[in-house]
Amino acid sequence: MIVLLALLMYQDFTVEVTYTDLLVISTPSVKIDRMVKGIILSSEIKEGTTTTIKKATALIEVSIDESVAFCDSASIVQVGSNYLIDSPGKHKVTIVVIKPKLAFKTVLVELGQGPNPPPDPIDPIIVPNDYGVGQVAYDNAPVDANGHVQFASFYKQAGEFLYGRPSIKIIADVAEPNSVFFWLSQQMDEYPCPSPEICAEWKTWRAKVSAAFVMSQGQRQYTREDWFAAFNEVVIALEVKHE
Amino acid sequence: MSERKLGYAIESENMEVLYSEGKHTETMLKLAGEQYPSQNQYADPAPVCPIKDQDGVGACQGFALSSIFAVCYYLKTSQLLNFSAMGLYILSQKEDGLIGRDVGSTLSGGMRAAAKGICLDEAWPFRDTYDPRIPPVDRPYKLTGSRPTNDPELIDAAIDAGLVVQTGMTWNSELEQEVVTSYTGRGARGGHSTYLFGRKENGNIWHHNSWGLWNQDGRSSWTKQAMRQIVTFRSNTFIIYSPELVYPAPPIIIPEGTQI
Repeated sequence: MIVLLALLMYQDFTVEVTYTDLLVISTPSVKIDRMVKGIILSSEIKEGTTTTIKKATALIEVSIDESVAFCDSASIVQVGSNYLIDSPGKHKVTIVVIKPKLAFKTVLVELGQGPNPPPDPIDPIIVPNDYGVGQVAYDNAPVDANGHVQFASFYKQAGEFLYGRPSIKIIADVAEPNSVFFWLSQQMDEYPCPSPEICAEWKTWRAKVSAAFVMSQGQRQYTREDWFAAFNEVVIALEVKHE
Repeated sequence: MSERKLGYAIESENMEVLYSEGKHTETMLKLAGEQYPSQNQYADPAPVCPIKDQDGVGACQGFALSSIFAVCYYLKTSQLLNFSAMGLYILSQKEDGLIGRDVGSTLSGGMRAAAKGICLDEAWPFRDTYDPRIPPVDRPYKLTGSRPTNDPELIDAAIDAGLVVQTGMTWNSELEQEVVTSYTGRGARGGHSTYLFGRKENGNIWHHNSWGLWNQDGRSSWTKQAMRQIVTFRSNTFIIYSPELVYPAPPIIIPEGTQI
């Protein structure tokens, strides 16, 4: 199976263009002394009668510099996608990338197949997730604009209770009547879902957010400020979802 | 109505200990203002000040201090724990040199006991009778109080900062009213220790006792004028506690499988 390096062009980013990226050299041998980005200088063919330079991009020019004293006379001819040097001897071959400002990305492809399609765009929305509950709340929230507003307000008020605003509720078991979780659960139970399907989705959301809280508790020693901040993560997640 | 048990050993109070080992009051208030600025002092504190009853034991100071631990723990974690009142009473007595007799304890003994550490009630429960034995249990919860103050402005500031204040007072019938409006200290029947936390909507300060359903819900309130008179009374002592306590990891509140 023939494998070669191909060049794919994208518009908004730049990658280093290397000799390897540009060419696959056939026999006898070509040594490149040095190169700069996009331009290869002083490539020298030390021996051999015929040298073919295969190019992997159309964006180069290949030429022989005959003005150098120690180099032999020769000419270079493009044959298809290759270049042919017609005489043996030492030659100075200059390879210039014509449009080096264009950005390239190098990927390995197999001949006969097209390049891999770009990956699907990743959802760029990031919500606060220091406590591991914000992202879960965002990812699992149903499509229910009114629900986003309502559930966010429940969690916001839950945080306020911890500071006695307007009254004191504590962090305690969900069965404890003065627990913020008891109150939260009650509020969410009473939310009038627009449909049974949405109701089921909110139920799943509650289970997943609860599980996230369970996990988060095991990872840190929660203070009042931590509980407040964690509740607020849920609030922000739902507000972002709402937008 | 039979007279309730008191238990603040005024005559044994060690002011030198309170001044030398208590935190500087103004510093404590400043820190509290920076760290706990959002507590609504007008919220009814009943949910975090459960009704307690010292019954026939002179453990008022231990009960007040155990409730202070609970309030401070709530301010720190939003959770509620039941701290050992009996433990704090007996350990305070040990510091006072009074252990072995149910004659009460002091605020200085209590401050030292609190700084050395206490356990939860389940590890050292109160059983309605005086028992000076000290069980071999870990006491990981620690709290440091302030120097004593008789400055009404500082007490007001502490309440407004959401902090809790322990009292050691000359107890008389004036303090037994549901709303205390004035105080002269006359007719004293002994020393009693309680605590202050929160304000009523009318600005009165909530005063929490350890006499069960005393005044219906175990508490009274003090008007501003009464508070000034009580706080400035010469033999009364007041210590502020802030939530800067040492404590082990709080219990997991949401167990696995729970759905909020």
